[in-house]
Amino acid sequence: MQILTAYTTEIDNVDLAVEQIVQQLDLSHRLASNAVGILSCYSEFIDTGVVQALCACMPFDIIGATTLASAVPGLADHLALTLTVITGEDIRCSTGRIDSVDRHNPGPIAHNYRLAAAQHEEKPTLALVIMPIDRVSGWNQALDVLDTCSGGVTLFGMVAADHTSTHLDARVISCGEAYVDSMAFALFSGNIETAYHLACVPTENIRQEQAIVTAAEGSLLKEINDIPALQHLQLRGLLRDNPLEGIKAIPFIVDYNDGTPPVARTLIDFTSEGYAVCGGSIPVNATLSIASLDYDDVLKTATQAALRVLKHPRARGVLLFSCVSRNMALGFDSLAELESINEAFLGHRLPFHMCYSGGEFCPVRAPCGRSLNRFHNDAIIACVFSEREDAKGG
Amino acid sequence: MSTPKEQALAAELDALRLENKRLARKASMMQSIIDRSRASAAAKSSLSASIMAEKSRQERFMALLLENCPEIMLLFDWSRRFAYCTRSFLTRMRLRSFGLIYGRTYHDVFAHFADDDWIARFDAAYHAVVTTKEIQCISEDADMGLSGNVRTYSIHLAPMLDNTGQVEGVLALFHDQTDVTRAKEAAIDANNAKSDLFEAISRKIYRPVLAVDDCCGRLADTALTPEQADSVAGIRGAVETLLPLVTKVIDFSQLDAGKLTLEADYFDLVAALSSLRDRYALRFRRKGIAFTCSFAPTLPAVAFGDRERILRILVSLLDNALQHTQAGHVTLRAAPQGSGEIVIAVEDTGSGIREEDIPFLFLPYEQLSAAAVSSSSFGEGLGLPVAYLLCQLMGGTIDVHSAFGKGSVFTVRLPLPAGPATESAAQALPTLAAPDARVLVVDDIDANLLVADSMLGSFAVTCQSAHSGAQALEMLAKEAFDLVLMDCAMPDMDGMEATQRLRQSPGPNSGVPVIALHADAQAERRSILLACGFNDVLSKPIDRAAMVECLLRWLPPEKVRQEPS
Repeated sequence: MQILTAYTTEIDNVDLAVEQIVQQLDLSHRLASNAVGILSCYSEFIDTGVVQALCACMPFDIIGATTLASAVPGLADHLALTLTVITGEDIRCSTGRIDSVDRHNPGPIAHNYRLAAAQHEEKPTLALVIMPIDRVSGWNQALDVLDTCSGGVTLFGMVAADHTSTHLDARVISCGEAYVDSMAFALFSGNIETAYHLACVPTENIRQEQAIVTAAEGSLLKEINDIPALQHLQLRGLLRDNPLEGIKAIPFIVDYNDGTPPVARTLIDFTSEGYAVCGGSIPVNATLSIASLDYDDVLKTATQAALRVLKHPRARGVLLFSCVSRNMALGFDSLAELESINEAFLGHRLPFHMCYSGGEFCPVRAPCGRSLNRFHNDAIIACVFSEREDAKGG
Repeated sequence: MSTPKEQALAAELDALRLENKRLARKASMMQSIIDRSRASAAAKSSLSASIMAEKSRQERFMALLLENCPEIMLLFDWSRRFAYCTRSFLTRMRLRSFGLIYGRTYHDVFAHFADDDWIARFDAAYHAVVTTKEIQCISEDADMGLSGNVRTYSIHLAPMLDNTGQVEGVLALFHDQTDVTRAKEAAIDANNAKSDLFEAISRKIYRPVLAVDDCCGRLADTALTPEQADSVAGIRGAVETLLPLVTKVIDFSQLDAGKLTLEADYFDLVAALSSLRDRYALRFRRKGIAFTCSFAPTLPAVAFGDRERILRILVSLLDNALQHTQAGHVTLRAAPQGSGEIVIAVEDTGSGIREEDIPFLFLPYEQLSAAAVSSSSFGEGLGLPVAYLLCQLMGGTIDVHSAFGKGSVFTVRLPLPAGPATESAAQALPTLAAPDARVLVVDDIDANLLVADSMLGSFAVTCQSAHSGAQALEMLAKEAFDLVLMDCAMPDMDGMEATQRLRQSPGPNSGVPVIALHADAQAERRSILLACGFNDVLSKPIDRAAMVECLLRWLPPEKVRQEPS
């Protein structure tokens, strides 16, 4: 298995952009029988036709998303397109797309998953998922449907984002086309092993005062300590005149109280009833704490994640997704996290692809040892690809 | 067709447009970064404000807590100096402000109201807290304000650990338990007073009832008409009901107050157990219940213990079996077990006891509730608690195994060392006569005088009687007596005062043997009576054997004619 990376910052000259990518990939020497591409880019790359042209000239499927900024070895930029190709003789790859992800209609998700999974002789090791931005936050429901119909296949992925604060231009890319409300995914099986790392808010940044989620429905946080969420947050002095001003930059730590590590949640919006729309599900009776994440915390956790990745003895490459709210904490030094990852991997010749996401899918370990698929906010997640130890390289 | 110059201009224009586009793109990106940074700054500001507000609210409430907490809470730093305290401590110490003690060691501050020993004990507890990192509790009295108001405190010292587990200081919580302690003591005193009153009243009832019983006995020995015999039987039946009840109440009161002292001696164990057989055989037969006694052949003939109290225990068990068994059998078994232990079991085929009721069976206070007192079965329920307490006092145990509806087995285990056969108390009473002896009996109750006269008369002793201590002194001043039997509890001048005055008088009887007649002739009471001038003590009701022993011991030998039994 090989992981190839390439990038371009040429947005306007389509031919030049494609040529740069092709030259870097050197597919004639490095492409194996099976491959899939993962792409992240500044949204205008879609508008100028670069994405379409690039996907058209590649002999394999490409999925991806718009992003705030991305990085591969030697590059960290807002206005870039980065492409990573996972290729190998003894791995199987397939892609799929689901139109109009509707949390109330799980049928298409299950159908399209099964179609893609049918191309594999064995149960896929990994489902790499790219979700569309959803202001009503149906990600968790889609996650649950995928989790169920896949039989618990590990889900790793991101939610599309863009450079704006409202992410109005965020799109999912699948085989050259960009979609506002489609989900794209890639399944992997065969001689492929994956390991996952997750870093979020440092424990010491989580305030001790906890509140109880007393009413919630999926990602809708209705009541905290028996009063509407908005009112509770106002009582705590967290919301000024504009309820949304800055609230997205405050991580809320949700402890499911089931022995699994707490997850971070971002508040996205408030309903007219004073309920908070969160970037992921919040179960009733979970405990809620406020945390803080500043510039140093972002770099510290990113570096920790990178160092854990580097400890893998047989790593062939790594995919990293970091939450846009972490980027907010960097202030004007917006590329600092990407640059720190670049620096950490410098000299290790480890191919990597990192971009910013509007939400992260990464499994966590339950107390019994079982892997649980979970959606995160405010996190940096990493998927390390390697070959199985008992298999020969390909 | 455009000219080369136009083409060049067009190309330059395209390049400029492209450059413009790129600059606009970068400007847009910068604007996004600015927007995100502003949002992030706003978030930080909100969070800081929230944290400050929460902190200040917590600090305010913490200050309110410390100001208003009724308990004394002291915080010491690692060097034993005052770091903080609640206002209640300052109030007790009559200090205007915390500043006066801030930074001072507790040795300095406590020295104001405590001595070195008190401080040393506190020191020891403090040291234990610091070394073990565990809570220590001590109880101390202190008059912090030096106002004469000594309070009793339960002091809890707890370590204050930092996040590395190191002791950063110690918290001392002083809980004023004075009122609780005083209330408890008052309750105990009230309970003891109640028990004493209960006992006193019971004793007041006991002697007259004994006298009635004795008189009935003597009356029954005379020729009576059938109606008179019937009446006497009725009176004796009532006495038989009343006496055990009064005895149990007296026993219980003494046991409850810890005043009951065992009177252990060698006694005929088999004879004692056999007396129970004699006593209960008819009663069980009347009820149609088979009653058997089984004594192991290895049961020692003589044992060392308090015979009367042991019998009282077994009487309670047999009464209980008699009451609760309607058919079947009751068995009394006795056998030795191990070294010096006797096991006596009473087994019945009665109604049995529910398992959940067994723990309450021997509880004494369950029987003294108002409801229990008012019930028709009051007093019968005192038997088991008294038996239990007596067993405990003797160092033994009593337990029960029962199946509801089927029956019960009560097992008593008592440490009763076997005695040599020669020590048996079942010795034949000697017959004596002392017609020349002059005995004065002093008692305020006529019935008791009659009983004494009757008993002494059986020894051919002529006795005179006095109804009060004063009357006795008058008589003793006028004529000589060989022996005085003096009741202790008499109105106006009691027996103790009369005896003391007799000893101080110059008359002919200042040294006459005076025997105290007392219903409670226990060891402590005996020594007090002897100290008052009595020569000996006889327990009421007077046992014939005890009377014989007394007469043999205290009458002039030349006036006593003893004949072998």
